[in-house]
Amino acid sequence: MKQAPIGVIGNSIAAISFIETLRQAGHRDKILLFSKEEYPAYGRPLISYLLAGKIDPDNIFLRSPDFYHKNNVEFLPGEEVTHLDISNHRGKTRSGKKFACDRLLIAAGSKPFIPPLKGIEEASKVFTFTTLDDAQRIQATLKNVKNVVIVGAGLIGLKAAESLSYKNKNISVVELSERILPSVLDKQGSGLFQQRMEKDGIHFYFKNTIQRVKVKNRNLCGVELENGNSLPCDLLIIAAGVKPNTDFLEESLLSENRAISVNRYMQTARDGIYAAGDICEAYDLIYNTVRHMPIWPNAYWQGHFAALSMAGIPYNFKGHVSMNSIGYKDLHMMSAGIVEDSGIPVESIVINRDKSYQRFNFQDEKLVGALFIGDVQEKGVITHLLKHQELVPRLKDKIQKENFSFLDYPREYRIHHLQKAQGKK
Amino acid sequence: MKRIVNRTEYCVGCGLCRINCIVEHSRSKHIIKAFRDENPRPEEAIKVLNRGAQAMAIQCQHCTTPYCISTCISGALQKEADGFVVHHPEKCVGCYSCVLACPFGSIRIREHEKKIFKCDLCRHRKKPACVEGCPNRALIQEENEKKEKET
Ligand SMILES: Cc1cc2nc3c(=O)[nH]c(=O)nc-3n(C[C@H](O)[C@H](O)[C@H](O)COP(=O)(O)OP(=O)(O)OC[C@H]3O[C@@H](n4cnc5c(N)ncnc54)[C@H](O)[C@@H]3O)c2cc1C
Repeated sequence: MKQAPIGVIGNSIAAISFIETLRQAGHRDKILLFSKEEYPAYGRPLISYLLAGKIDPDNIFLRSPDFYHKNNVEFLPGEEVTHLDISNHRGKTRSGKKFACDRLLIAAGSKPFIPPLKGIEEASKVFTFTTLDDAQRIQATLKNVKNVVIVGAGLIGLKAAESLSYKNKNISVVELSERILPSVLDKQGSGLFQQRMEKDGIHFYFKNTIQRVKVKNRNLCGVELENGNSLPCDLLIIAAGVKPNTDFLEESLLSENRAISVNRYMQTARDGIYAAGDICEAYDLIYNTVRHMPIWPNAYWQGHFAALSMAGIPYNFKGHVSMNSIGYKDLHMMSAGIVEDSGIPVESIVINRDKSYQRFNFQDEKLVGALFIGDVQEKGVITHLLKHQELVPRLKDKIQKENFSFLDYPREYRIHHLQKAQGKK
Repeated sequence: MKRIVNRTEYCVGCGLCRINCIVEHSRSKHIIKAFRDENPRPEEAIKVLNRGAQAMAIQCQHCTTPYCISTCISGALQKEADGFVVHHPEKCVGCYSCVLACPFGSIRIREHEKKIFKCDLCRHRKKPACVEGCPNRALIQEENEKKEKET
């Protein structure tokens, strides 16, 4: 009997890494790939670079045009899966196409969270900023836009602000919390980014939100803030975070976080159904808890592990560590693990040097977080310790030195690690 | 796949590997021009680390399961079928996520370009320039017998 193909729902980094790993493992079964979006897989974070005019549109795609063909993947662009019967492993797309796959990867990612805003339905020029289509639609309206309001000072809001600043727009950012990027920067770090952005004329309204959207003849003309202030606005970008894109799924697959619940082999509650990426939960090694961690490397690894599981290849994986490397023009930051405000008491060491700001957070003899602003060269040598806590007692003092390097690692570990990297262990 | 093996026990930290690497990745391929005239100076893909009497040279290990690739938001870093971890600079947007992920510190930032730079194993040459320049065989080139497809 002919094997049914493996089904993949979603066409972003989790799916790509799944396909690459499966093929590398020598697994040749045909893959049926459903993608809501019309495009070959692209670098979602690159939409801000595209809007800013910093990249050639052809360079947004993650892999070469023959990727699908080369990997025996039947790519179905524009086919959004709207129904999935997980008991019978069958599904249907919006266009009515039916499929049956006893092995399935759900990698449909996340979607923007849209806070309830009065007047938003009638207004034109209100956008989210998570897809290539979003970027192209914003691009198409830009000519007549002067005043932009961005809701949310997280990663997506910051990147939207950066690209529109390159386009010389008058930008205001409205944020519920009291500072920029509160989950990946500490207070001082948020302050440095805020200052840098204010230098470009970007205005911030913290501890605030939009009460009402003002519309004149169906055209957006302003927003009214909770504190009573009004801002002129002819382009509104909603960047208030993302949530798992699970509307088409049965409740039994979901956790109370509304994300797909998976075990360490990326298996869902149903046999033969795996999930990976922004749509599901992940085990956070540092917080020692399962949570929604919608970042790129997690999606990559989850897709990778789902493929190994499906191919029956054993693996060891300790857990994910949240990591972010973010720039606003010439100011760059990297952070990993617990940075601040997590409710977990930490011992912090803060180092201010000429052009760099660093923070290390320890808990007993564990390194639980690190933040680097300004000087970010070679910081992987330090963040690697978040996954190798056994080395921290020996290296705790050394990592605070300016010239910390791989040579500071204990000799036996260095040798072991180099051999492992080269596949000799 | 042919790999560079770092035999740290033989490294004296002389830095010739680094000089060879810089010249090889310069426009002129000429040592004096590369160091004195080329602006910005060509980047080194190999770094010589020193700590007292200890030394080691380190460059991209072309890991079998690379952390850097998992973080690359643009597809600039990719693993080729033969195991090479390749950087396509035209696709790099300078997010530096890979720098945050590389446990060896082997991915360099080129500030003036806002892109990264790393070892390409001198695939255009028979032997990598660093290996050729090492007087002590602390860097050698070795065929990895084990199959690279292993994860
Ligand atoms: C502007 C921006 C900047 C970012 N920057 C960074 C960064 O610097 N670093 C970082 O770590 N993360 C960043 N992220 C987050 C990162 O992009 C995500 O974590 C990552 O894309 C998740 O990948 P994924 O494979 O889970 O799914 P997604 O990228 O969310 O893609 C989901 C895929 O599923 C498809 N799909 C959805 N529903 C269906 C359906 N019903 N049927 C079929 N197909 C469907 C979609 O078309 C898409 O192909 C950024 C995100 C944005 C928006």
